[in-house]
Amino acid sequence: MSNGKSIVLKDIHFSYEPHEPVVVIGEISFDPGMISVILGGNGTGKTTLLKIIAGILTPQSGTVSLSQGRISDDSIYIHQDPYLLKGRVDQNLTLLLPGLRRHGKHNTDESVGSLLDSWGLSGFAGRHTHTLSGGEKKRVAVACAMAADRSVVLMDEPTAHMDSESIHTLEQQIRALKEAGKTVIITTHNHEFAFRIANSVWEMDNGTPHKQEFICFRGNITGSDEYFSYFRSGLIELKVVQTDREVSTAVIAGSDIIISRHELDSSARNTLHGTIRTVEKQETLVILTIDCGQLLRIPVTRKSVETMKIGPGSDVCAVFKASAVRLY
Amino acid sequence: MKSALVRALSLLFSFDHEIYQIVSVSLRLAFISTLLASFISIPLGILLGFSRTRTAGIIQVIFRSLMAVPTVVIGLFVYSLLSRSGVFGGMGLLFSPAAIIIGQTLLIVPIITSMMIGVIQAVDPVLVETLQTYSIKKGRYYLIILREVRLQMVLAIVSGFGRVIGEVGISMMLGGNIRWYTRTITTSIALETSKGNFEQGLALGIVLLVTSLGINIILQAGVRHE
Repeated sequence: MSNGKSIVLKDIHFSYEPHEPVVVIGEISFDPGMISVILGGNGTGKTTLLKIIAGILTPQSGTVSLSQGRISDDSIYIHQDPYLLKGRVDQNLTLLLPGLRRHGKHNTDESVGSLLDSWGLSGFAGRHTHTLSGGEKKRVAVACAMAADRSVVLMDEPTAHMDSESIHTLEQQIRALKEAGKTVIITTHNHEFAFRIANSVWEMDNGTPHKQEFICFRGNITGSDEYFSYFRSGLIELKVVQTDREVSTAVIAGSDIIISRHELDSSARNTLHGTIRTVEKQETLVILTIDCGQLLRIPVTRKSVETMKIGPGSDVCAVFKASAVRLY
Repeated sequence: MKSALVRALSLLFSFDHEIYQIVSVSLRLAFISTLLASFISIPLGILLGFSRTRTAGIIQVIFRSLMAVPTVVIGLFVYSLLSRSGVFGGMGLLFSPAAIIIGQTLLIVPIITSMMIGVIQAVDPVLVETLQTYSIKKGRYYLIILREVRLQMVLAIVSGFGRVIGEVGISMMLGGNIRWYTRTITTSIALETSKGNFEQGLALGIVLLVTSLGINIILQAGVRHE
């Protein structure tokens, strides 16, 4: 069980200019100790939302609260194009994090060096920040932010200007944060990156984030035949469109899944058998949590629940097409 | 011009005691007034640069306007305060190096302050957000910002220094051009020229230029090092 802190945003209204709202939120919460990714195009308010959570921007109304403590004291915001102070990398760390200073230069160098080593940045201490590439700058900024040891880590477009190798390293760093119990919120345009690391995905639409019911399977392609490739995730095997790419994640939108009481004779190639664990009524939809070896959260209409007479404990089939599975 | 240059060089290398005394007075007064003005202007520039209030905006406009005030106006203003009938007349500061320092400080406070305001307003907002997210305490916050803009800050201070080392109105009105006491390079140039001794005046002008050039070369070396 995660020991992270949850974040609740309530009745948020923020605008830079009067009558032009940039972020409008009724009530949302981000799960503790999880990686939440916010997707959305330019100008949809993703960065503004992160800055509001970080306490850098103050909304005209509404509150941002952390399950324990003050959000502004226990969060760290990493800018999409981070600012590194002039001088050497070790000076950046000791200026921003006075706690790294030890009695005597040798001891300070040692504490900075071991921090950088732990983030795969050995030998960076003496480098001048203006000599670092965009990716290196971002990695230094992440290492520095991690050393601040805050419960909530907010990253704005962390993959911007990064090559695939740097993105891979960053993904490992972000997973390490989750392992350490941090609550991570990331904004990005990069869907591939998002689905590889996210525990929950939000889509920003006109300043309001909407949680997307996506089901992510982590695994790999185990083989192909003349029609399909086969993606295995634990005990679950999915038929997917043929691919020779290296993939680690299969994603299905909850809305692409059909729930039935029995197997269907249809064009859908994937059928997962499972049992309904919870039924969560929302404004217009009902979210079913189905256990089929992995928990699937699938939105259905109230009408469907009533006509199918399903509820917690009902055995159902989750049916979807091979082409509905997106591979990353 | 050629003879003035030869005369200037001979003045510099003749180790003439009076010339070195004049140069020394000029530099000493300029350094002290620049230092005093910096102590006032840098915190003021930071304060006004970060402030978004209407009052701060009005003060900024006033400071920018004061950048163009002629030295004789400041000289006259300080003279009225320090003269025997003035508010501070009893202190007996008129025609002393202290009077010149007061006048020169007043001259360059608006210059350094205005330049510092510009420097602070140009600080990358991402730096400000970074310091905010790290919850850096106020004192340390300003020190880090000053560290980041140190080069521009030095440029502002040097601009102030350049203004005072080359001014004549204040030194003449408040110092009185007293030999071995308040005579500066510029008042000496004015005196020599009024006596018709153009060569000597030009030679002193060249000494002034060499001094300014030396300071700029040191600054340039600092910039290159950055």
